[in-house]
Amino acid sequence: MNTVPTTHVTASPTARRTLPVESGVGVVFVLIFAFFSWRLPHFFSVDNLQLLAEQAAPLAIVAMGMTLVIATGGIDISVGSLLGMCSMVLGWLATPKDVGGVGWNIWMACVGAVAVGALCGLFNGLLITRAKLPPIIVTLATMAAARASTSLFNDGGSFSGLPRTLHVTFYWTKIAGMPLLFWMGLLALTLGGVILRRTTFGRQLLALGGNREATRLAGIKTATTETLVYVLSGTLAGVAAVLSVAHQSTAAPGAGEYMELEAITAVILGGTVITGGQATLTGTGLGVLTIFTLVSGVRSYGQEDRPAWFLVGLALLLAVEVQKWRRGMKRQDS
Amino acid sequence: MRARGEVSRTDTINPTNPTVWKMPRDLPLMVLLAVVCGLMAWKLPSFRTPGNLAAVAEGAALLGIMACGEGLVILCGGLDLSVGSALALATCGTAAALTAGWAWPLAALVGLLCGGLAGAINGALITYRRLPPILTTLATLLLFRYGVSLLTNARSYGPFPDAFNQIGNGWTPAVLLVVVVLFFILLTRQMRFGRWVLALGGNEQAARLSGVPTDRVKRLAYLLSGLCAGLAGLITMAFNNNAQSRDGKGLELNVIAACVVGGIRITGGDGSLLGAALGALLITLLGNALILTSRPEDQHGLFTGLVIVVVALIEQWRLRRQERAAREGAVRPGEVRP
Repeated sequence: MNTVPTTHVTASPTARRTLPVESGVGVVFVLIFAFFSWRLPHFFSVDNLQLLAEQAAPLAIVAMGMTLVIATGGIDISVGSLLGMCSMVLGWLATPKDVGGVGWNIWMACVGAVAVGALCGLFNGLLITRAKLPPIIVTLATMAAARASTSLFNDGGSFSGLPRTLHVTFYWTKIAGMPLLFWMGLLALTLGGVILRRTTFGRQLLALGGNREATRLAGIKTATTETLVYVLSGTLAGVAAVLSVAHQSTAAPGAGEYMELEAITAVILGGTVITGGQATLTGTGLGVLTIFTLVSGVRSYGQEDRPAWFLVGLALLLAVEVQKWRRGMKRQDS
Repeated sequence: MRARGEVSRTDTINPTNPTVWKMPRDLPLMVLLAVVCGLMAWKLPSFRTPGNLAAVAEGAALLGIMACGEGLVILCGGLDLSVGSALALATCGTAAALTAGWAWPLAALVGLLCGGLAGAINGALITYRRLPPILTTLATLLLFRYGVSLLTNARSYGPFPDAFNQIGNGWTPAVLLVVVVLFFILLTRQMRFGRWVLALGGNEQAARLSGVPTDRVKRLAYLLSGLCAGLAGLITMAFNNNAQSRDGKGLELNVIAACVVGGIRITGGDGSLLGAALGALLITLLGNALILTSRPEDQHGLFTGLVIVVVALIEQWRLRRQERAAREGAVRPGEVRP
């Protein structure tokens, strides 16, 4: 079906040639990065950049799903809790039987965890599309339930001492000097971009966010498309859970707390419109990098994250203002 | 469209067929609450102890008061994610004033002002700068929380004078909750402001065109939400005899959950604030039941999640039934239900 009533990824045809959506966050990122590289001698070193990439990868993966969800005009605030739950499932499946686990092979356990993420995404998607409940309510419920379910495993304790295989694979395997983890994050963002711009599915997502009713009337199976995007988001939360478990070979019930806020912040910072219809994965990637550059840079000043999160809040407001200014939004449009 | 003087005194502005029997809006929730309360009083002897009842009252007041403010914001089509952070702003502001040796009424006033300030900032950004509510309050969530954390250097305040701690102990929280809920019921059902809020949430464009000062209404709604968070902050810090910048972290989602359970439509325009307070009470009671049966409190979320989905499904069903009734029955425009 070629005649999808697309809302273009780029600016509307009536507008003059404008800067790309990502330019705002791009400039902010370059400035912040340059500032820290100039002020902090260790900042622009291979070790630190590797560390930055490692920290950013799970969020990049989750934020890719979030971008697609927001593109449809929805929101998925359950991703952080799903990450926590999938980590615990992974820990439980991979822990030997005599210590209260199931004793699966670690890779089987990973597949299990990702499958659980996908199932939860399916649950979200079905409630949203079939029962027609608002996305924020459904994912709020899943968020509460998934976080609570982490306490069902191991009496609410964490699973530590999991096989080091995961850590070795994702952190120690280097391709072109960067850990596998980094490439996975990059791959997720690229894949998201390709899906959004080059596939029918992606165009349908944007169309959904642009005008739901028109999309339905154009003969697109909106329910299927929308369900799939939540499944994708849940699956990616599962993948990010694998990476977060790999970090210290530990599955903790608190994993991924506030990750939904971080992901939404990154997505919006990148220039994706919160009401849907316009999305950019490049922007999301830059948003994730901006957050982690801020956090890591500020941390090397005072050994803490708090000022960075304050700055992220400011950056978010600024990014929205820039986005508004760029689109030349008039007062009555609100 | 209905003329201005003709608005009915019911919660919804959608005209519906009067021949369909309509359940009083908050009745199912009240029945459910009564059943839960009765079951707990019957099966759990420790529920009736004064200490436990005081804890339930404090929890319900904390959540209920905030749910009233949040409910108002949701009713006018917005969302306030920053209430938990506004609460921290209020607790730390009050605590700093108390520590500096101010009289407790003055310190409490500082707390309310801090909450009000947070709400005013949200309202100003949303109306003057025309930023989307969800983004604005997401940003202010971070700004307030980490701003307070930086200002106070993450220190922990307390203990406080006994006179101040009265706010969070004994019957005071329950009384405060009742007073706040009554105020909000009066505000939404008896005053012009309430109609404006519902009209705004139902259809902003139409409300503006019929002369509702939409921006002023929104600003007041966010201001009240901030004030509620401030009051809730006073209660919780007095109860805990302690204040720190971590207070109320993640509370915003519980508050929104209470509103949803209370039957407030998340897109605005329909719902009652009494329902929001009842929803908060239900969530608090469920949490208390878990504690009393010595299950880990972490599992609270499983029940909250379940309740949210079930209530949302019931609401959806009710809405569709209403719509169908409206389609089938002849509805004269501007019809006023008795």
